[in-house]
This record gives sequence, structure tokens and C-alpha cells, in this order.
Amino acid sequence: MIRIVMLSLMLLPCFHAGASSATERGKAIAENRNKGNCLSCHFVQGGEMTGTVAPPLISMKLRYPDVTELRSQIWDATVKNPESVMPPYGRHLILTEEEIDLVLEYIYSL
Amino acid sequence: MNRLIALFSLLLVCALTQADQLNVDSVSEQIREAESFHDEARSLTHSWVITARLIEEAKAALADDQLMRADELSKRALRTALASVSQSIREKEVWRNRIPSS
Amino acid sequence: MTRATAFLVALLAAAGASAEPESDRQAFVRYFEQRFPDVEVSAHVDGAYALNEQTREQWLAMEDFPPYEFSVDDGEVLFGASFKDGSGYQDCFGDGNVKQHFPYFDDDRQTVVTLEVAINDCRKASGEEPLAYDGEDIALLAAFIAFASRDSLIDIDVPPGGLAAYEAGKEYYYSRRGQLNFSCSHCHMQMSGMKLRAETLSASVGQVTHWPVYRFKWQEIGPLHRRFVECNEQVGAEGLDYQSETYRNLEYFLTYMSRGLPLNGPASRK
Repeated sequence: MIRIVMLSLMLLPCFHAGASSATERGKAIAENRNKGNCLSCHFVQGGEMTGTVAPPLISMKLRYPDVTELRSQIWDATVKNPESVMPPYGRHLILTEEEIDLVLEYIYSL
Repeated sequence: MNRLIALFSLLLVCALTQADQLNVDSVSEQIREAESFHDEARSLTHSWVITARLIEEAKAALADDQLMRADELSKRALRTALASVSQSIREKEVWRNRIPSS
Repeated sequence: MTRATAFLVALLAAAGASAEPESDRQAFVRYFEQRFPDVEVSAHVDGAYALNEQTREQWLAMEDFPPYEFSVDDGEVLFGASFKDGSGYQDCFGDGNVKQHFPYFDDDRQTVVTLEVAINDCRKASGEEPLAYDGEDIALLAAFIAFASRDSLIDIDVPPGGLAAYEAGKEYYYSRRGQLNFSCSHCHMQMSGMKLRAETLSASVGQVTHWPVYRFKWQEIGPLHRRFVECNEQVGAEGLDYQSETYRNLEYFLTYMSRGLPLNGPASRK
């Protein structure tokens, strides 16, 4: 009995990770006002009260055939355009590297 | 069962040795370092809210004997403090580019 | 420099005006004229309501019963009261129609004097304790003075001695700040008229004309520097003290950018 309980306890993290996909977790970070807050500036299909400051997040695979280029934009958009108004999520430590990967997963699915 | 106990013991040893490398003095020093860069950023009117928050949280964790957490928080505080100082240095160079030309 | 321009510079310096702030102002105004060709520059004194027809109508309806009305009345009572030595605010500010001359650069003290600083100077000259800059009384007095100054045109200048303070305010305005990395100019020039979520970003020209403001978010009337703190914190930067030298310099720069525009304070905002 003890053995079964312990085994299930050890396996718990695996089930937890499976419960929400990377895309869903990335979506949650993107929508969180204290994290990505992407909708504040970008239109996203199905998003409520999205801003008009920045280009809509659609057809991302077409716009960024190279996914690493999209990641660089999220990490620090001022590299490509010094006057970009997009917060440098990586350089300024707004999100962790892992959170950026999750957001990327989500954004790239749009 | 024996293997499980062995595994847990190993994990415990790992956690303990890691905690052993940290001590109150080294974490306190790290917090002080973050504070000094944060103060520098403040004197340049470029300090960030997040740094102050991380420093407070690191101090609270240290007071609560959560050494690893205090270590992690103060490391993050140091990184944001440094980023805020480098923002002020960078801006000294570029702010004039935004003035509309007459 | 040719002799003619040298003469011109000397002439301007003698007149107490500086060429740079004035050419800055003209370029600043032109920026918004080109960005919003259908909006008169003077219309920007209504901030975001000049740029969003829908919210403007709601706001105008709200202004039928202005939430700052009682503050103006209370401010008038404070303004009319006498100090212990028998003098009062009238001895410093007459009937209160003075806001158009603030802030100004005080050569003796080598610092920018805002209306709030002048209110406390007036008190100190009569042996009264200065008011707290984050307190209610100073906001009420400023509300009455703003009301008494309505429709007067902003009339400040930058004497040669004030150039460094003006420049410091200008640098603050154009510098990125905070973890989110925005300068005042990014939000209120480059992004002006656009929406963050549902909020329209106002143009910087005309931003200083209507303070103090009753903000529904605050549930009370508050000074311009409170809004500066809010702006700073919204981009993840630490705010500064009200009436700190940096904020006074920023107010000096911003007010000069709105020189010639009519005062319309106090006002209400969401």
C-alpha cells in the first residue's frame, strides 16, 4: 500500500505537466496583465479589449518562418528597431527564459 | 522499497549540500549588492519597482531562514538592478533621437 | 556663426527668451498637427477626450455635474482665510488668476517654482507651516486657483538661467524608463491616439492645462505630480516625490510645450 502511495506521489508532477499543454500555459502567461500582457497592445483572435498599438498577432508562422527570429523579437525588439515600443521581455527580465519559450509556443500557434 | 529510500536519501543529501554552500552572510552580501545598484539607479532616476520588491522579498525570506529562496530572489534583484542602471547609461546616448526635428 | 545670427542670439538672450525652447515647442506642436490633422492643437487640452468621440460624449455628460465643483468651493474658502499675521493668499496671488505664469524659473534660488511651491512660499513668508504636497489642502487651493485662471493662456518663458532646468525636464521626457522601457514620448507622441486595452493615449501637447484633476480612479482631486508617479509606476519605474526637482523640471518642459494654450482646470478624468 505504502509503495503505491509513494509511487503515485512521485508520478504526480508528470500528470500535472500533462494536464495543461505548453500552448495553454503560454496563453495564460501572454494574457496575464502582470506577465506578458500582450493583449494590451496586440489584437488576438478571441481576446477581450485588445489594444491597437501593435500589429495583430495572426498568421505568425507566415510572418516568421524562422521561429528563432520571433523569439528574438520577444526577448528584445529594440535590437531590430531601436524605437520599438515593445517591452524587452528577456533583456529586462520581465519573463523568465522558460516563460518566453511558453509564450513563443502559444504565439506561434496563432 | 530500499531503492526508494536510497533515492530519497540522495535527494536529501543533494538539498543539504546545496544549502550548505549558501550561508546567511553570503546571501546578505548579495542583497546588499543588489541594494547598492538599486540606489545607484535611483540616483539616476532610473530605478525599477520590481527591484525594490525583490529586495524586500529576499530580506523577508532570509529572516524566515529560507536561504535558498533568499538566494534566488536576491540574484534576481541584482540582475534587475543592473539592467536598470544600464538602461540609464544607454538612454544618455539615445534620448535626443526622439526629439521631433524642427 | 555669422554676425547676423550672433546678433539675433544676443537679442533673444537680452529679451529673456531662449531660441531652443521656442523652436522645440514649434516642432512639438507641428508633430501633433501632422499626426492629428483633424484636431485643432487647442482641442488637446481635453486630453484623450479630444481623440475619442465615444468617450468624449460620456465625459461631457459627466461634466454637467463636475465632481471637482466642491473642491473649488472648499479651495476658495481656504484661499480667502487669513494667516496669523493678518495677511493671506490674496497678498501673494491677487484674485487667483495667476496659474498661467507657473511654473517659472527663479534665478535667485536657481530652481523651478511651481504653483504648489509658490503656495508654500506664500505661507512661509507669513510664518505659516508649509502644506504637505501630497495633502488635500494644497490640491484644493490649486483647484481654486486653476478655476480662477480658466481661459487664461499659458504664458511662461525660459530665461537663459533656466535653460539647464528646461533641458533636464526635456531629457526626462524623452528617456526610456522602468522595466517596461517606455519614455513619456513613446506613449504620448509615438503611440498617442492609439489604444492600450480600451484606453486612448492622450497627446502630450495640452496635458498640463487642466490640473489638478478629479480622477475617478482616485476618488478625489489630485495634482499633476501624482499622475507623474502613476505614469512612472505603469511602466515599472519607481515614482519620485511630489515637487521633487526632477518632476518640477519635467513640469517646466511640458508647460513650455503647451505655451499659448488656454487653461481649463480643474477637470475630471476617468
